[in-house]
Amino acid sequence: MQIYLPIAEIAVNIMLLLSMGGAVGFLAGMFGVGGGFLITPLLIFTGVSPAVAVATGANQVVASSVSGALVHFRRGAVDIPLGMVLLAGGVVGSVAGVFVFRQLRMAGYLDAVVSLSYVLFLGIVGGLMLVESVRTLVLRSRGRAPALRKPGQHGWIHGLPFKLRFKRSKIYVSVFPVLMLGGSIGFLAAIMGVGGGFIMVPAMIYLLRVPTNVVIGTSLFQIVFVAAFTTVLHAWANGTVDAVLAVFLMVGAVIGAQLGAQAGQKLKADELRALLAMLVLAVGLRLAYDLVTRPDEIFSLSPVLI
Amino acid sequence: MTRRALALAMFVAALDCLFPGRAQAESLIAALGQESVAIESNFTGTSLTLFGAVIRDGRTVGRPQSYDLVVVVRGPREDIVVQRKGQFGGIWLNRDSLTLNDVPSYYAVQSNRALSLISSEGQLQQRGIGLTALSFEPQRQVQEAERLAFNTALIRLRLANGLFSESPSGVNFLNETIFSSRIDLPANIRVGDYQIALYLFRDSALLAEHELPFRVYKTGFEARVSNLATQRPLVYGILAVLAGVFAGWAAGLVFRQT
Repeated sequence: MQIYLPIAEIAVNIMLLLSMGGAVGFLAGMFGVGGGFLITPLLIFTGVSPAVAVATGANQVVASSVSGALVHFRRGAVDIPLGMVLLAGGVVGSVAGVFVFRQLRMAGYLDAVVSLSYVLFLGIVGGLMLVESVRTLVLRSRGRAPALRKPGQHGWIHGLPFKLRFKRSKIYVSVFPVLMLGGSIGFLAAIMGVGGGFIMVPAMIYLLRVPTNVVIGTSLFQIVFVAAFTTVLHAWANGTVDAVLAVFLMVGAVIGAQLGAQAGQKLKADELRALLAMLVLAVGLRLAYDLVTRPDEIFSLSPVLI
Repeated sequence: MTRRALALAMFVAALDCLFPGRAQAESLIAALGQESVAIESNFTGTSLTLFGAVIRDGRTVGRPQSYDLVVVVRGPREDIVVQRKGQFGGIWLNRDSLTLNDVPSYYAVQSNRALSLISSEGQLQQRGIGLTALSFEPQRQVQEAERLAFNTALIRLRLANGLFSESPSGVNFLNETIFSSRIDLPANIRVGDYQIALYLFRDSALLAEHELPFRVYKTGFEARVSNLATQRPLVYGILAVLAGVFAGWAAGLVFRQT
């Protein structure tokens, strides 16, 4: 059954949307990631314009992070003051990102910039995941338990002024790195339509030294609000949020995520993690291929943007 | 609906036989099966059937050459940015663009035979009949070769997505004077006022013209969503977010209980 998407202005199959949302949600639930970084490129492959794919991706991230954020909130695993400072940075980053997005779109460079960001981003994430999972598999096959990584010393961060004490996280840290981190996540959310948890989580652990038990809850807390803010801003400034498209993706994704989370508890995830890494790399490679090969049609049409 | 249009055409033709000898030699009459097209959520394109008849007086009967009919459908006009990709540092991205003014969002030409057989190029150009007659004004001064490259690209892209078309067999004469034509409207058509122009030729000479309008509009849920998105974007954005919050919250609730 076909449905006409009002903002994307194309007709697509409902089952395709549901299964796309479901598949990404399943992977996301299994590995505890948001999945925004897969939704946007898949939408682009389906024929949705990158501008709509990014803004709708941000809307989808709201749905995929809300249930996780609620679970952590009930457990008390959210450092709200820290989340608020991150959020303050995120709001500024998101405003800057939506502004840059708008300028790029009017100049006609948005599609290329979005694709290029994804190539970089999926390449790095996929590459790191692949290295990590292969190393774990090799170590396990040799009969040794994988060694826990030791966090590096980042003394300079703790030497910065305007320190704040976050009781829940038991850290005493300058506001600058926290605002910077929140800001860069907000910027990424606006430009790429991702939640940014994969940057947020390691940065909080290794840079801010936030204890692991509050890291995921706090980052989800910030992601929900930054994604929500970014969605509203895109709808207002660019008119590129397709709510009908988002709803079908959400329905697929939230169901997929729950099933994925259950499956993830039963399965040994290392082999699957390697597969996910390869999938991520394949999506990145496909985008890279489209960027460097001469397109069949070098002309394209766009409405006049004001 | 289309039967009603056919009946109307037949009635007009019959009337014409009963009361011959009016001042004009030939004129046209036509009707659509429906006066408007509604775009709903499940809209994947539609087609309209046009019926019409050539009305002629007694003096015109019995000429050897038969009639030629051209139907031109034009959608609401808008300015379009045509972008051209070029290579920059190994990647392909939009390097330059040209805005073309007053481009019809839909343009279909249908005729009973090839346009080149129906009339002279000059005659067709003058009335904007045929894809080769489409020449759009650029928004800034460019060399003619450049303008032509962008103009041609626009027509090629529009042909590819079905918004422009030219069919030399799109008009059927049911007998000497009654004709029908099917107008295909793809899923991606713009809303607004459309104009159908009919041109009657014989032996390259234009005998009569006739115009009739129809309207394309959005309705139902589809219309509400896109109206809200354009007219109250802030409210629309907030609702989109609430849908997300609800979906996430509901899923958590459902799966926590099972």
